[in-house]
Amino acid sequence: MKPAYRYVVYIGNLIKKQYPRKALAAVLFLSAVPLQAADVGAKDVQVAARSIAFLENAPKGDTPTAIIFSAGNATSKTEAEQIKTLLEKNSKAGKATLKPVLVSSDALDNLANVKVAFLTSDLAASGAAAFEAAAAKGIPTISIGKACVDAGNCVVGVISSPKVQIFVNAAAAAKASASFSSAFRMMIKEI
Amino acid sequence: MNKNICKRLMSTSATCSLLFGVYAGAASAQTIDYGSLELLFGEAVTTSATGKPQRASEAPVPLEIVSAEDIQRTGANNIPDAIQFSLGVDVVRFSTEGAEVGVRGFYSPFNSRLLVLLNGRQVYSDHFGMTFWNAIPVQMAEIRQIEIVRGPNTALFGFNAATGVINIVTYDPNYEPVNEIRAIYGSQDTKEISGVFSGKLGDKGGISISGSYLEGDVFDTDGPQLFPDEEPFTAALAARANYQIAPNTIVDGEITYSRTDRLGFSAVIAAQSFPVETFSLKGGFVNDGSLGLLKGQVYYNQLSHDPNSPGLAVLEFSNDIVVAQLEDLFKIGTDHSVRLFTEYRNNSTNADSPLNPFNDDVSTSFNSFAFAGMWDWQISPTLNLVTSLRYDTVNFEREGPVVPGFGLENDDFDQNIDEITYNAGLVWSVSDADKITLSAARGARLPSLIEFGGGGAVPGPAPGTNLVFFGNPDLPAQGVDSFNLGYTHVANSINTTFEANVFFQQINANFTVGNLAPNAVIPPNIVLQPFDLGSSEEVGIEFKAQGSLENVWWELNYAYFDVDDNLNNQAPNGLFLRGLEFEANTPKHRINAHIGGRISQKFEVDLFAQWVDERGFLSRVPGGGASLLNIDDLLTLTGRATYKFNENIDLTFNAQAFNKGEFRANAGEEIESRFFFRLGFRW
Repeated sequence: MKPAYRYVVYIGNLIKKQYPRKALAAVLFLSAVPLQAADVGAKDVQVAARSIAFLENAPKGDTPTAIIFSAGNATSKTEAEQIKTLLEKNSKAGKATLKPVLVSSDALDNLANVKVAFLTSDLAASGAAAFEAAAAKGIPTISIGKACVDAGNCVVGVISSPKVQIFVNAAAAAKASASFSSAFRMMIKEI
Repeated sequence: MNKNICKRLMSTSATCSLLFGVYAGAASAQTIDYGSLELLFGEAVTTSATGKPQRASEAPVPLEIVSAEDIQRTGANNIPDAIQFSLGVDVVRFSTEGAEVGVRGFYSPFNSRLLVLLNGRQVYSDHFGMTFWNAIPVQMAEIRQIEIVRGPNTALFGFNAATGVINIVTYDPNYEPVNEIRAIYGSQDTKEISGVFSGKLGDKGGISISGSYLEGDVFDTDGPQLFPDEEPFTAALAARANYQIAPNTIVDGEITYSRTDRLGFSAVIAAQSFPVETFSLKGGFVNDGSLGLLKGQVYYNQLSHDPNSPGLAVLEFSNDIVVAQLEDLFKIGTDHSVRLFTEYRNNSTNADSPLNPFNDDVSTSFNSFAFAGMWDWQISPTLNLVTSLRYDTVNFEREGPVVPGFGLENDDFDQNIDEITYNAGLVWSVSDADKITLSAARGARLPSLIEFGGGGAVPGPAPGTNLVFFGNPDLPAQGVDSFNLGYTHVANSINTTFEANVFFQQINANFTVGNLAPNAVIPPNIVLQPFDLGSSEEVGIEFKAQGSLENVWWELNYAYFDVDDNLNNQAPNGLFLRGLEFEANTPKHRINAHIGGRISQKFEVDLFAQWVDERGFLSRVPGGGASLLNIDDLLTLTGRATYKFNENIDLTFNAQAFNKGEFRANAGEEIESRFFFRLGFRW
């Protein structure tokens, strides 16, 4: 998935080249696809992974990590694949080595051995179900961005730009039996 | 029971379960893992602002963090050289080994208003109220960062954090082991060998051992030679360890020794040699559990002067400090962090000198208790208020003979000082890029043990005369009131940070051990007795911009300090004292500029320029008393170049004030440019 600005440039070029149909098609495509799915960057994933190290009883060694995407949503799956690729490149999280696997929102039974779960940004109604399934197994859920934390579906949300911000939903943390070191708690924003 | 209390205190049971449910679970013990937190947040982390770990950019007080990388870029082999270009810092070098450090002006020989700590243990000496910088038992290679708080922070650190605090933080051998050997050879025939060795204690702890030996000549200039023609040397040894004894508890310990010569200016406005030995022992624990981050530590510091030294052959002082501290740092709900703190302190000094015919062999001591609290309230996502309050109660006593004619007996020294200090800071994050900070603080400096109880003597200004120290039991704690308005802007597009501060500071009850007593002269002795000389005010403005590109880094900072003394330097008997002179001592303008870069993967260079406005230093005049010696404005250039042979070995060339040759920077001897080659081997 290309970053948003590249689409704008692409559409501009189409108009310049007098390809109105293609330009219209591109605009329609953009309106149908949530752009934030393309905004996950290496730094976002790196910060999210590093925050895992501050969990009490933080995972050690090979750590199965689910990336839950919305079943039937291509954008969501693309974002999940993007996160997976970035996690594979930055797999160290303290003493843990994250081993990402994609999990569809209609296959939440597959969380059996999972220790950590990333939720993609457009799980929509499936988000709550994904969180419930993860929380029931004591799996902390993590997202890139704050919306999932605000919705109470993610324990941790990270924003890496322009400055690193980490948000923790205290109620979600309680439900997922997740807690963090005191030093970490002093430095993040809890809601 | 907790839940019942909770129901009364909290509005919802959900909050209760958060407070006592989840967060009461067994936590893996964690001291402050600076490295991981710094990596996570992409900036330095500190506990020196409020006592809680926080990002440097969110601190409610003016704060400078000199990182290990910054130190490396200065090429410095000692702490004063490493921090001399930091915003608001004033380093006055007296000799190859001796330097005095001030923060936000108010320079004086023996700076009693700046508290210096090593990993939270004070290395400030209470006998005269000063820091022997080169006696701090730490190697440059093991320093993770130097945290400089500009302004009072007594409410957190206690007495003497009056105009600033410098906390030196070393690498934790458990999280960030360091193994390095350095060899230095340079001008003034300087030779130094130092090493740091770290190892893991299984997967639950770490240990580090460090040491150094340094020797060199004194400066050899055409000017008058005030220091003994000796070869000063410094030696230091330290061992630090920590170990996780339970899933949520770490214990740690430290033992150190150092021996050094400080060739510098003393509080009696004289160039003197101060050979000292220090020893320290520290133990502590951290528990990260249901009570939050519970920390305790006990330490013992001993400092003694060598009575057989050439400079102070007639002087024998010692200072023994025992400190026990307990603190708990915890969160209430999601928006409130609280720190509760208590401390016991026993501090004693013994002063002995055959030159003192009146009050030889004097012991002065105090016991103190402190209770403090800090409340950090995240009022809204963009507004944060931090308030700290501390109460100290100090009981002094004195033993030994008194100087006749002053109407004082030992019972008069059974005094109590109670002091309340505070820090309050409001941080408004106007946007992701802009921050405004408004802070107010009251700090305090306690009279040093010699200022309070006296004892001992040093040679006087004329042959055959002696300067005899006598105390003053009526001295109050020196109060420092400070107000600061700060603004920070981060321009991510050009990777640059801008900072500006405007502040006002007032110091009440200035006194110094170097004051002549009102009935001072009992031939051939001159009695020194401190008393309240009055107050000083300061208005200051600070600017700083720093940034980096891929292979270039730079910083520009400027400080304007305008001090207005209201000091009575005239003794009641008409003697001219001039014990303190902050207005003239503090240069009005100071500019530091730094640019550095990576020329290639193996080669880095840095250049620092410092311009300091003209200033005056108190200087002795023949026959007694003191006058101001004016020093012209000073432009110095310092540089370093490092060539990395490989990942393990590098060679650094460091040139301090290389444009000056011989020059005057203080009221003592002239000083010289210094040049060093340093070979480093790390693994």
